[in-house]
Amino acid sequence: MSHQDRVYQPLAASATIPMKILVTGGFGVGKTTLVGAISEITPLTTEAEMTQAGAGVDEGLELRPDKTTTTVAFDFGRISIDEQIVLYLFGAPGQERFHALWERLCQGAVGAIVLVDTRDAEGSFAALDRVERAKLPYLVAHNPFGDEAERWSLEEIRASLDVDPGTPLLRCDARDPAQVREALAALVQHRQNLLEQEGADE
Amino acid sequence: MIDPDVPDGLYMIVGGRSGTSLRLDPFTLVVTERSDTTGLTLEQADIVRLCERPITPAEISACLTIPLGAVTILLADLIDQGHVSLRSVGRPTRRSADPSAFSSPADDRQLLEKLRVGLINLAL
Repeated sequence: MSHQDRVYQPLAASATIPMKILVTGGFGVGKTTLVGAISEITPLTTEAEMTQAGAGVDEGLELRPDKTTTTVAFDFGRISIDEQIVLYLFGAPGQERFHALWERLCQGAVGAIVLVDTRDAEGSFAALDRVERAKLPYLVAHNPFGDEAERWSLEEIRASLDVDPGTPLLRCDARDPAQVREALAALVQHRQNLLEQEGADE
Repeated sequence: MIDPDVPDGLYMIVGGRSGTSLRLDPFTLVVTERSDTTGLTLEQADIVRLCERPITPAEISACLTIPLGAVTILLADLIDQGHVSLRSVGRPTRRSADPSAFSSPADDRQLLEKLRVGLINLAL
């Protein structure tokens, strides 16, 4: 792990409302690239430690020196939206044994961007499965490596990954700040739509 | 493997504390209430200084390269002692230390609209 000895850029004193969005997907799909493309700070890495025993034991992120602990790192970035709202983007570890940390990270999140690589169906399915189970609103963003955008239409990707018709699906080059910004705004819009639907159902 | 004869670095930082009941969102904002660091450990004093401006446990962890669990334990003590506090929004409904006791900004239609518009207008 690299040392983060560069100068930390503090938030405005007026910041009062943290909001957060999860960026997830298979290994090497570009989660950190996406966060770095739009974050106002160089993405930071934090280490969380938990016991091997997994869920239940690490509920309070407890340190138990008598047990073998394992660490997991997650990257995050930050965008100051206005004087009050600050948006955190984080790439969460998806492994099952980090279940408690995953829950804590996802609780209260606006939603998730599931970044998919058409060359890694397995990783994409696993990520989709995790956000489904976390009951987070999400959208699917195809990060096109090489000529994958020409090879696969969004309709084909939706069909092959069995993405629900109500779930937004778009292309997003994780290196392109404008495309990342668009994907984030689309996710917030999706959450707003879901809230409206809930309100209408009541 | 942990050698029982060698004190674990983390264990030293948190002063032998083995855990906290505080379940802290890594992305909640923490602010300093009392900047007097007399009697605090080096790590606690570092945290109090960092919290002069709002900051999250995740950022504290990254800045000080202290794992999140240890940061949470240190923060629990600092909150108890009145050095720092959680800058929470929404209505507290139960214990103030429980982050789930607050209504989430992610369910607030006005905040979501501000977030969406803010993103669309974000200068790149």
